[in-house]
Amino acid sequence: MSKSWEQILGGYATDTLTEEEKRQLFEAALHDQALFDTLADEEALKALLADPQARQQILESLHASGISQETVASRPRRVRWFRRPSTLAWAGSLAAMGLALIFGWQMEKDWAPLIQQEQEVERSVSEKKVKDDKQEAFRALPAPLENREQVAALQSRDEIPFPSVAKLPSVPAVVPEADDDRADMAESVDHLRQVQGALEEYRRVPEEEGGPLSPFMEDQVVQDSKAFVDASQSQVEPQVQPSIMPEADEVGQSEAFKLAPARELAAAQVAKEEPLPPPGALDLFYAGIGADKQKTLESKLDSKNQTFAKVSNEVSMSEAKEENSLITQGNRVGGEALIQRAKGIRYSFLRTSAKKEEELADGQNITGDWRDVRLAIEPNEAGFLYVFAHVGMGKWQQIEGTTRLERRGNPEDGNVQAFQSVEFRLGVITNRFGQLVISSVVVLLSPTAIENVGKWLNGSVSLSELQIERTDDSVYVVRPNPTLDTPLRVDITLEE
Amino acid sequence: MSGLTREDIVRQLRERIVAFATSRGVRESAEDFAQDVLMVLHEKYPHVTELTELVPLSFQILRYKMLDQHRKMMRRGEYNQESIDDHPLVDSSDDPSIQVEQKERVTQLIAALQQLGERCQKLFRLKLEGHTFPEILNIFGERSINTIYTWDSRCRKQLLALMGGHWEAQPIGGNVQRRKRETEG
Repeated sequence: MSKSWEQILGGYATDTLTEEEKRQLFEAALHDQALFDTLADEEALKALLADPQARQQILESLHASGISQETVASRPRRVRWFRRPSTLAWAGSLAAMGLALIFGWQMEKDWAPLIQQEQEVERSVSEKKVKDDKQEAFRALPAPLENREQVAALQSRDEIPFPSVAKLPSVPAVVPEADDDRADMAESVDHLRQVQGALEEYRRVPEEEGGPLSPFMEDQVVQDSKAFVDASQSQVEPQVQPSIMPEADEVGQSEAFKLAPARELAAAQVAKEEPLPPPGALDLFYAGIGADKQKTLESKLDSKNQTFAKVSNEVSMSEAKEENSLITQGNRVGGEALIQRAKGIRYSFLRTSAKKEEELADGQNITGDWRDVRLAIEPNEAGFLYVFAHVGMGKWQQIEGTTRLERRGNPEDGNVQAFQSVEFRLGVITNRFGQLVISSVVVLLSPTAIENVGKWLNGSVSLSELQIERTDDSVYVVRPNPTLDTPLRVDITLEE
Repeated sequence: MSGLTREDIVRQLRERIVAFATSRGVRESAEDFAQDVLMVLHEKYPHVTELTELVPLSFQILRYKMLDQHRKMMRRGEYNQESIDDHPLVDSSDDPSIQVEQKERVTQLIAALQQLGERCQKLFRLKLEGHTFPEILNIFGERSINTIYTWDSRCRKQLLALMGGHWEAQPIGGNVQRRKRETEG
């Protein structure tokens, strides 16, 4: 039986087929036994429905049923409209678009910090490349013996006379053997020029106002100049350690240079005899750093006096020493009058980027894997540095640290030098997915080794004792009260 | 208009009727059924020549003949082998059993229709109200008549299934008798 004929069979019993439909159906039935049989079977229903009484009865029941269904489902049109395929297709499309938008927004939210970090890394790489190019350009300069003339030419071009100790650049003249370090020397020369320029500017202010030159800034220049000399000396004699802050890392030195604006302000205000604003944690952290440097320098200079005299043709060691001592004396007086150093630490977060480069991370915005994040702590006083994580039930886990530059192992018994950066791997307090299992760590800094650590770990630190200052990439925490001889305790919250 | 003459239609009808009766278990009297139907068509309806009238008419006659056959067999006790004395004589008036049977079938049909979906019920109601498929097409607001055909075909099959697969009540005794004959044969 053809399917098309089967479809109109329903109209036969109710006698609602059109003449054409009937003709086609019956003609087909004569040739199709199955259709004929079906039609013959339909005859019974047709006979039943042919009875007017039965037909009326069925119709009434259908009407009653239809009314009840309409009352039950009288959200009809909307529901029917919604059930249409086209409507469903539109609804599905809108839902898919909505999901895509939500997913995209979520991706943006999750990945934006990572993308930003990558961009920062790329930026730093490009900056480094520029720096490398400069170094390459410097290396392309004539032989090292001519460096002296180059520096002199730079001095004359900028018309900025070096201070007395700034004559020390003649020292590089004896460095021709240290070809590999010419780039570093170039940086040093550039740096000296910057310091010299700043000094001249600061000198100019008091001179214009008829006041004395701030010894504070001169001390900085002297320290830097001597650092340059010492670095040059170390190139001649590689076995000699750098004379200024040999333990301090590059970050520490760079931070010292960052102090220039703060000191500039202080010097200018002293010159103008105006009251100083209260020092911040950063100032307190680095206060008196010149005295320490000078002390170290003096000892180094004494021990290396003979060697230094050999390599320095133009600089009079006694003259420099005399001048340094004078400046140092002034600095001590002036420095103590200005800011007194407070015990403190500087900490920051480091992580290794995808390009295997080390970068600073904002501790409050670190996302993702903490396993490669390191907590770098730098005390401003020599002593014993400990980092503990509270693992619960009153138990504490010590996190071993490594010195930043050498990475040779743990500092012996936690003993660190002033401004020596020590790194603590936070991977030891994460789970296997890189998520932190401990939300904070405690840092203890003591001038002597702590025997009963638990005594200082339990309880909480009084924030009123501490002064905290945040910079872009570091946090400075100092304890301004110098009379306290207890270990400095700092609680560091690891934001996630 | 069909090109078939009345003789052609009657000849084909005979073949179909014999086959139909045979398939319905009355193999012995299939030829008789066909002959009886054709005799009625020839004697009482010689003026009916149109295909659209002749074929349904033959279905109607065939059904009556078969029902008569069933009634005769019931009376003769061929289904349940009961004594003829236990049954009343045939009344010339309306057969009460047929009336009851029809009433039961109407009740059964209404119950089955109540189980159909809203669309099927509406479709069946419209057909009972005399609407043709093209008219139903307009009422439903659909674009294609084939959609209505498909809906109606599905509804009809669903209704037939709810009715037990037959529009007409099956004589239980007939089935028993048929099985008995098949067993003896």
